[in-house]
Amino acid sequence: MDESQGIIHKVCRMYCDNETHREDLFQEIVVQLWKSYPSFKGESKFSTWMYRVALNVAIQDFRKEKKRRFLFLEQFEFKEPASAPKSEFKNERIDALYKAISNLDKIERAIMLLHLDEVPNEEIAAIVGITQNYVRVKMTRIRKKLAITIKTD
Amino acid sequence: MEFTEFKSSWNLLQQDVITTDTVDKSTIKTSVHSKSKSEISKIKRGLHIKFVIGSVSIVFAAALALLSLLNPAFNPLDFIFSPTETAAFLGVMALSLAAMVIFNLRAYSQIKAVETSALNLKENLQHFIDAMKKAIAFNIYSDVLITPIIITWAYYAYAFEGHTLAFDGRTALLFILPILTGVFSYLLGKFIQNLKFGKYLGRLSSYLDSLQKK
Repeated sequence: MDESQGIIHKVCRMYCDNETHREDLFQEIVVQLWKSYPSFKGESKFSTWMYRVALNVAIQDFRKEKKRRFLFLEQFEFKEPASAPKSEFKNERIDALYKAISNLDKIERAIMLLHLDEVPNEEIAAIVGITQNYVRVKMTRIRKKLAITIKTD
Repeated sequence: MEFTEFKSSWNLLQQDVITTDTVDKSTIKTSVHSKSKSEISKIKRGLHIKFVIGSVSIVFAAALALLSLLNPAFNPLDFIFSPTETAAFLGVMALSLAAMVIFNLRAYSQIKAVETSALNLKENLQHFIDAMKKAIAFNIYSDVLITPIIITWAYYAYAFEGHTLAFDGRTALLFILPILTGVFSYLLGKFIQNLKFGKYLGRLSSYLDSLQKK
């Protein structure tokens, strides 16, 4: 786990918009990896298994925000992570990357992360649970979405 | 920025991750043994507390029911019930609490099963949404069970003080009241759970839809 922590950090960077959230998600992923380790049977690469657990945790993760009150009842809003705050990363290119990613939903972020990490389409399909053909379709849609974001900037 | 530039930016980010985020072995060891802060874990802990309180209450109610039956002079509810009525009320409460605890246990096991999953993203989302819906339903059932019983017994205590059961409106209400309060508390429970988790589950369902359609 010590050697593979890069995967966890990248997932945290992809799904969190501040340091506290990143630390919490990192801890949560580490806990779940530890608990899920008995389920790793060596049928897939260790990194594939790790991506699966980490991405499942990140997708299920929700930040609760108290929003409205109905008499004594509270309605909760669940915050989607936005892009990382501009001041946090000094590099403009990383900022631009975060800005583009912030327009993607959690599933698109997962596919984008795997694609940027140069995971082969076959493995992306196995991690996400869709066909390789659908991975390509998804990537085309993500590229289009990103192109629109880039254009509007 | 062109799409092709994303890759080089990603490499820059990887460098940043290595230099700023990497933690030592001891930090990882601490994380492994620390308590989960996720909302799901908080729900699980809430169910755990409910289970403990429910179990203690069952023992307490059953013991009081038994004592009231064996020793009529001991009647903790003598201000409203006769010793037999007290034993019946506490016996029903113990049984309802037992059912409530079973519902809570089922909700707990549903949540626990999906908490650690190495399934692919699509299957995991499917399982997670189903488990959350079942857990919410079991939680509603457990709450629905107790309210009508307490209200109906309270009604019985005050409406039948000095009266016997007969074919009249008073007795009819004794049977209608649990149905009405049951339906009301079910609808209220459903509304509250929907207020809490409706949007979250809706969002997860939309992710699942995006993986199902082409």
